[in-house]
Amino acid sequence: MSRGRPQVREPHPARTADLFSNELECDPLFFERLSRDAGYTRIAGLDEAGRGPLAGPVVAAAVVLPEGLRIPGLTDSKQVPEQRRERLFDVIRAQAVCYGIGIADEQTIDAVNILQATILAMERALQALNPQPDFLLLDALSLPRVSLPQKPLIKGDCRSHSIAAASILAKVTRDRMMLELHEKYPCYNFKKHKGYGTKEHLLLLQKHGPCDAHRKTFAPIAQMLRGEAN
Amino acid sequence: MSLLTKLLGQAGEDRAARFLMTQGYRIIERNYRTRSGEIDLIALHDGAVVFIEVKTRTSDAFGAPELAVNPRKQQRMVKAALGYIKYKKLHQVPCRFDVVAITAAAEKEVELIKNAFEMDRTDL
Repeated sequence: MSRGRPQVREPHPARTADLFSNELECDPLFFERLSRDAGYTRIAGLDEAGRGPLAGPVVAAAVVLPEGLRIPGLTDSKQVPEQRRERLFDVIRAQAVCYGIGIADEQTIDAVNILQATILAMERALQALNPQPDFLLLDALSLPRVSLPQKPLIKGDCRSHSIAAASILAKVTRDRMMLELHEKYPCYNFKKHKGYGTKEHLLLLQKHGPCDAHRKTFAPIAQMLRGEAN
Repeated sequence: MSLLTKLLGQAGEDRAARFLMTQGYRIIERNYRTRSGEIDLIALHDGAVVFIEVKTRTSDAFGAPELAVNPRKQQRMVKAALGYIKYKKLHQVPCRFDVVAITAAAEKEVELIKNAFEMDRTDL
């Protein structure tokens, strides 16, 4: 080769186009397998739904899947369309070694804070498990009052099959509860936004004021209540 | 029925509904009424239609709530259930009767009794 200009490898469009598209793609049973290699046999995935919304309970689920089981189409609940979530809900319930669902209602969320309420819901989900697990995989938080060994995973619902299964159970259960609330308080259209702070929800909240199902300590509602008091 | 008992019953039903949902039930009807009887909650669970009676008590003073579903009440529930089955054409779907007992003052507040009683098939 000649001296002079160093050889620059032109990036080829085919190589660069979607270089990071599978950034989060990995073996969804990786952490389950590692835990099993370490000698644990009942590994529970935990996840929650409804930490962000302005209304409704926070729902947590815990799932122990049998060794090596992969459920087709199962990923993080936010990536799965509603209809498929409903179907997966039944599949997971049928295939799981055991599962538990726990909730913390609106009053609890206001009394302690949302993080503590989430932890409480997770503990309740855990209590409902039979047999009890010996290892926990969680989505980015840990349970201080639970003495089992646990591993918090950032983006856990994409990285672990068990957490993904838990996220589906939690999400579907919470959505059903929001449908119930929709029947009770139809004026907020919970059916559509499930209590999340969408433009429509905020608008209807302005118009009708908050109801029993709203979290009084969340900023928009707390603001409104303060405004009314003044 | 006083307003207070009505509110208590309503609150109990709300709690029962949420509890059942954590058990994987899908509530499809609330307070289903016919001339011959009433059913507090109707749900789908494990491929069966479930007719649910919710019993709420503030204390154990009058006995356990699950004992308050007497034969007369059972019969009224069965009649209403048959009406629902006919109305929704569910003759081929398995069904059962559950009771949810809520005691506000007990340590284990919510209790679910599956297959609390059975429908006499000769009624069909």
